[in-house]
Amino acid sequence: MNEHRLINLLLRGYVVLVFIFIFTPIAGSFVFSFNVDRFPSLPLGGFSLRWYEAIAADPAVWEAFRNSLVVGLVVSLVSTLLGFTAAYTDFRYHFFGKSIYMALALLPPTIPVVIMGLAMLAFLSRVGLSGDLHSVVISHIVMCAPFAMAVIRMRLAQMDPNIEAAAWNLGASQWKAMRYVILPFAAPSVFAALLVTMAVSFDEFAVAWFVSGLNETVPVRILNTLQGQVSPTINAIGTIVFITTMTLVVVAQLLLMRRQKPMDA
Amino acid sequence: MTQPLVVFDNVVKHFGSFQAVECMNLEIYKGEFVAIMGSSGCGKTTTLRMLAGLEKPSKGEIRLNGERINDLYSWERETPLVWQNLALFPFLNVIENVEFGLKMRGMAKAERRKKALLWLERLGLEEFAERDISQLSGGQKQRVALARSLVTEPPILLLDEPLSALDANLSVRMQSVLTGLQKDLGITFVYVTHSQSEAFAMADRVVIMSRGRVEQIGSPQEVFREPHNRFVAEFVGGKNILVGTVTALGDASLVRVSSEHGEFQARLPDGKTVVPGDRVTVCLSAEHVDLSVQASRPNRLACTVVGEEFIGSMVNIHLEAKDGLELQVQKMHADYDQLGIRSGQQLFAEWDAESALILRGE
Repeated sequence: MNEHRLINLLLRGYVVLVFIFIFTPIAGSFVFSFNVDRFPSLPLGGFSLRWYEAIAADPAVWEAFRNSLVVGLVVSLVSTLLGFTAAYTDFRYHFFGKSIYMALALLPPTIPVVIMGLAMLAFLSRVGLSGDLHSVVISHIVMCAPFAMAVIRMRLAQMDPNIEAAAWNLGASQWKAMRYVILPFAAPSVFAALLVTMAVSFDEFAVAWFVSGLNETVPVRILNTLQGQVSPTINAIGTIVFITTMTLVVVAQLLLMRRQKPMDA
Repeated sequence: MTQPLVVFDNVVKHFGSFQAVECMNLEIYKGEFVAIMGSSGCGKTTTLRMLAGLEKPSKGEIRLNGERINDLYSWERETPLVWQNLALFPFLNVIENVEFGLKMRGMAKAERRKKALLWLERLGLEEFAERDISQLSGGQKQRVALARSLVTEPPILLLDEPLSALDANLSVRMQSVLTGLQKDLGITFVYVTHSQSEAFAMADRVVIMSRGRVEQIGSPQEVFREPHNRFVAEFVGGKNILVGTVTALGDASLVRVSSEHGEFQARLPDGKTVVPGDRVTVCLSAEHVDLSVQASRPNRLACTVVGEEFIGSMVNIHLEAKDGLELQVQKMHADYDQLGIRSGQQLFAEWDAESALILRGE
């Protein structure tokens, strides 16, 4: 049994190392965002909120957050709607070429973002839609809808297909069955999809950089700041972005794990 | 004769090249308990789903109260179905499940609550009204499903093997709940099952299907006493099948049949006529065969005992005739003990001429 304990210990150690590997840079950024010194060095100089004050005073950062928020809201609503309809199509219908349809629907996240960004820029400028905030919205919807579909599809896969037919059989039209049966059942995954897509959009840099023109989102602002100077304000912005994204993802995860409670329909 | 509640008029259903139901003709009357039975894939569930509006007939016409309902959606007809897996709404509690049909019909909340509660009381579920579906036992879920379908007071209730998931005891208890409900409400039940015992215990009439065709329609007694064909005889069980040729017509309905196992007499069902030389299939109920050491009757076969099985109060004795023909005989325990049968024993299987029935449809 001692051997087992040893293996157990090693595995635990390995997991801890992986997490350290992943989170050290982020933690570093977090710690240095509160450091008074101009350059990140040890030992720490002392606690300070000056970098947060600096970004609070920078109108470009405010503008970037406003842009990210607008884009995130619109993207999460539209891509969740698209994702839901695609997931429902998969749940409900069987048709020729369905596997190809599903593969195409899930494709966008597998395309390298630089290629995606270039393609989006080429396409949007050709149709005269590039260089504006809605360019970012359109591109992000393309990238986020598959995530929404994947999340909602997992939930619908747990649903007994007879339940919808049972609703019809009890007098619910297809719309009513959607309203009173499918949507309540899928609700946790729909909320999760709203949050996940917002998080993906909020984080996304490459495509936004290509198509946004002068309308910077937060990640684009970070890069532009970095190109000009190495400023600890980056750490402050990074910390805010990280906390925002993590909150969205964790809440989404909680929604998906929560035991389905009866709700008053 | 009153107008039937439901009519299947030459209804055909195929899925691609697969013929699920071929040429279904069936009339179901108000207040009847009809069981449709057959093994899996025989088209019984498809028949029920067509009636519920979940499948559309490929050909023919289904009428409810004299009106063609082929093109009505499921939500446009009053044909609630109790699902095999119940298909209760997991995100609604018990009373919300029961209310669902009323809510879809636009009934006000207070009124539908009241109605749903009445049904819960009727089925002994009132204390579970606010429970989650997942907190109920199998039998309780079953009754929720019944209440959910009956709350709209439909003229007909469709049931798709609702008891198949329950254990034997509970299943028998639910059978009496179902027949009681059906009598009290006076509505029509159409019950699909593969279980002969369920169908025979509850139904006024049974419809036996195989490979999309109706093999026989009749009361359980009729079907059991006079199966129309070999399929039905084998399906209801406890039957021995002998094939032979008519050699002579006797008095009344008795004819002589010669088979490779020997000669014997058999009875013609009402309305069937044969001439000498016709091939006939003869069905002999296991409970009508007697065993004796000394041959005493003209209709008999010399057999060897090959095995016994005990089924409740009955014993099934398996015999083999000289030419390999297998026979089964059913006896009460007391009679079996008196015979003192042991495996390998030689004896005679005998029966009255009246008990050997020539099958109508073969």
